[in-house]
Amino acid sequence: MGSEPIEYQVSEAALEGSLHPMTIGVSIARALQQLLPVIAIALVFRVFGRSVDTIELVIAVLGLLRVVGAIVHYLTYRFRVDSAALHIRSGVLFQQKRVIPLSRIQNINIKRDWINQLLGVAEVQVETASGTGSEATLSSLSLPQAQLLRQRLLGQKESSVDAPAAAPANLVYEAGVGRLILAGATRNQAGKIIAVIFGLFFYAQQLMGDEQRFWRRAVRRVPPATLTWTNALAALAALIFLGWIASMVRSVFTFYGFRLEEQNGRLRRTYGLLTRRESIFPTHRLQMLRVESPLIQRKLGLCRVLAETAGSFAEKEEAATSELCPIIERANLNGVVRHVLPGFDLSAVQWRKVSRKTIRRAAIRYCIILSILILGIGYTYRAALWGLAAAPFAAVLFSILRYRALRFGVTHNLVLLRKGVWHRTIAAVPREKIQSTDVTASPLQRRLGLANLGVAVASGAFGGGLTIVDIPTATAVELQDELMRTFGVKAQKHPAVDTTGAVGGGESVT
Amino acid sequence: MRLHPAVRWVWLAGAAIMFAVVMGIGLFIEWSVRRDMRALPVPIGTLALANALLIGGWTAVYSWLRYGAWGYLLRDEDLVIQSGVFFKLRRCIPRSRVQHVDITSGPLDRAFGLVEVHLFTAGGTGAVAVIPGLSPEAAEQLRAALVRSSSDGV
Repeated sequence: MGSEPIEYQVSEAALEGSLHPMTIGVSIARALQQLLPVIAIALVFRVFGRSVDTIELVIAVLGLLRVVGAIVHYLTYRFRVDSAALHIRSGVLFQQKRVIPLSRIQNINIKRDWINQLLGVAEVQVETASGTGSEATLSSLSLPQAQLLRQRLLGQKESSVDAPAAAPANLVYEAGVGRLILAGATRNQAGKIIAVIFGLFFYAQQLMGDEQRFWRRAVRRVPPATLTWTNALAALAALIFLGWIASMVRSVFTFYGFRLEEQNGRLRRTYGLLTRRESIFPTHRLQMLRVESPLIQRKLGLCRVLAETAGSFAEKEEAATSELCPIIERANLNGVVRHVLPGFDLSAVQWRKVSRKTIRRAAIRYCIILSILILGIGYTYRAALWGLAAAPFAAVLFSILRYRALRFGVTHNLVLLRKGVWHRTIAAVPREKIQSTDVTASPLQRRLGLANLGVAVASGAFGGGLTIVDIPTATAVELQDELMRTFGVKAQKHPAVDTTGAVGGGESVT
Repeated sequence: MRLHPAVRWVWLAGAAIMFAVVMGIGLFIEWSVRRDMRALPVPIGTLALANALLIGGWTAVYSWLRYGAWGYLLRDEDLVIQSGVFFKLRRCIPRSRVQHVDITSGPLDRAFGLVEVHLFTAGGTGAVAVIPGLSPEAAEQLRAALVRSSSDGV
């Protein structure tokens, strides 16, 4: 009882007021961070003794403007939370008043990048169902104030008579540094690394002037004895090794201290080394789950779990896709996923094969693509044209492997698709999240009696979902109707108005 | 349920206008680049007419096929739409997922007394389905049925 009045006071302070004074400091630090390249260039010029007055002047003016802007922003920014909405007022010339009804708030993210952490403040992002990105950003508040604000804003939706902090947090998943290094090491990034190397290479050529001079100069620098194939291969191996290390480092930096905790029926997710992110996972907005395992991870019995949620997460991850587990043993997968998808059990799924005829379609497609590629390379290197003879065999082989990897399944609450010869992906869509379903058939598919079944959900800017390719048309239509029966219970409340007339008259998909 | 038969004429008229515009631009460029029309082996008018007959004939056939392929049906739990002459599509949209329904009509639609129904669900950009060529009564009936049964849809 004794602590109650104090907490009430703190709450009151959080419910109305201005931002943390350190907001100005954060803005200045941000400005410095942004101007860093320009400052660096200015320094370089100074070292080489050239005149830099204009650049320095521009930097000074830009910096000053940012500082003045930050002070004005801090002085004019006011927010208030009452029983119904979050009110935000800001601006001098263009005064803006924003009212976000509490019932519309979907999620509150607390984000702390390294500047925030250094200055001991936090950024609060308010998300609503509409649109992408956050509806409002309060930058910056002190961390306790930010946490209190989130508690208030989210707490209003449910009866929060008891303090939410009272319930003990139940750890669902945790990834230590060792596992994050493993995740980075086993993630297939060779392609990305090679792309970066080639990018740097061409960039260097551009900087050095024309191609031939660049090579001649490069060759003249190194003693001829070292210019051997083995050395070139060793250099390439070293680069790939460096990329591999970078991948591990990146994994640790991004997901450092990854924790999923359940508290009061909510899933809290915390991770990040330099930029610390803390958010409540929007379980109700989950649209699709992806379990990914590159070849090495699959052999080690490991995988990575990604969640696609409707709207955006306001965090800079792949579109509306975010990590649920950076790395996890397949054996423990069900237990963690059940916190977002109750009753999830991958081992209970009855996987079904697609039609064998898919091999033929894929083989033709791959053969054409391969031939075009080989012809393109053969234009410069004649020897590559011999590859044309091998192309059909490679295409058929890969098509068979692809067919073997391809599986789909429909359970009482999920639609699943498994694919990928090397990089295996399992996508799962909860049936009640389906926005629409498509059965499509191209002229060639119709000749083979095949169709695709597409399932659309509300994730991503352009809508997401999965497509089961090349299943018999009758099966596709049957499954489509079966999936629609998910919505039968709701629809029964509203009797159909008009169900006369056959679908599509004489013409039908079959 | 079928579309209104007049929709075939809407499609045909639309194609005709499109054709006239493209042809007009083409002829104008031809005229401005090469003033002397008699240099062609065949008179340009004959060419244009042959082109019009060919494309017009094909468009008419295609419009009739397209009309034959189109169908929609409101079932207990969903709306089924079928379309496509070469690339077939059968789309099912659960009634409870329909966020809102627009009824629109362009100048051509109005000339034939028809409207289009646009259906929207959560997520994605643009309409999830567009049913062209409905009589205003049929469209209104469809909208009323869909809006009555839809609820929160994410």
